[in-house]
Amino acid sequence: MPPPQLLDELVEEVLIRFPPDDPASLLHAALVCKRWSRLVSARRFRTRFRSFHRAAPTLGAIVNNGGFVSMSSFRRQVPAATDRWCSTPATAASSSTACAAGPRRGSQPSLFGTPSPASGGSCPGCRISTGARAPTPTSRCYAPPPVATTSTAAMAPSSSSPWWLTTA
Amino acid sequence: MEVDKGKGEAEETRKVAEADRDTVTLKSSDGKLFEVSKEAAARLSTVLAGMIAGGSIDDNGTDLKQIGSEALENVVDYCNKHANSIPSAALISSSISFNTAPFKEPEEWERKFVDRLSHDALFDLVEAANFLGMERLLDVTCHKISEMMKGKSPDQIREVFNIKNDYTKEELEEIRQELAWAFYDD
Repeated sequence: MPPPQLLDELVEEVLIRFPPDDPASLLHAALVCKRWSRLVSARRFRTRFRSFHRAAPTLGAIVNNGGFVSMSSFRRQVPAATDRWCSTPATAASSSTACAAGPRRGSQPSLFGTPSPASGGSCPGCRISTGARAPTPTSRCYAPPPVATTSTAAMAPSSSSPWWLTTA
Repeated sequence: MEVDKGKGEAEETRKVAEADRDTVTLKSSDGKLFEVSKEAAARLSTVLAGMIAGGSIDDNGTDLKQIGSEALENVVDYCNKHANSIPSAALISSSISFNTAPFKEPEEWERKFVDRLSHDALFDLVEAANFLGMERLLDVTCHKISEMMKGKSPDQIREVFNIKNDYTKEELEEIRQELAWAFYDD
């Protein structure tokens, strides 16, 4: 006899206990079926997850000199040429800005998009627009000190210019 | 001789009365009876605590129609053996709300308790713990199930949990491409 299916509230109890340092596991759960996807996508679940673990699911941190430090199973998928975070000027900097939210539908496959000249000053991953002020060729992206955690928790990104994107 | 017999009967009656005071009898969905210490039941299960306080405990076996005998046996086993090492469920729920209660890692004996269970028994126990409002047991069993899912692909999870995939191939492929980072096998 196949094992019985758990009630929604019990599935939620189980999923809430997923380790916050392994956000991919939550995504795997969401891909099991649409019912589970709705559960983990709900605001109620995200709120409970954060309060349960006292933290949001965390991919890693961006540090000033060390680039991206992974704190989870997440492996960044950026070509070796752009190894140093945001050290390339202008469009490359804006398009590879570390983003807190997941990529927009239809954007590039990796969470941290590879430099795209066509991106026109907006991050493809997080929909953060750099606004009317297009980045100059000397634009640099500075990581916020000491760490900025990046989260899979689909946070709504700020619509204003990211404060760490400054003009040198 | 007569006197002895009378004494024996009185002893028996006293024992029964004592048992009535200290234990509650629970009846599973398939009619099996289990005895559990009243104190442990009240401490570990908010539902049983309410029933005991409200006087709705039946001496001939309180019907728990939603719980099968195997799950109820595990519940009773958990209560009787380990009641003393667990903080009161009523105490926890009165001081901290369920949603924000800090999770405490299962202790060694709790791990062993759930590790020996079969897949089905574990699932039944989760439901029983939920039904009886046994917060700690729910914690431990859900933790165990979440560990079972650790590092598994969606396909493997579906297989273990007997879940039908209602995504279309196209939908899955789209998500997979979009969120390639999350797939260990990529």
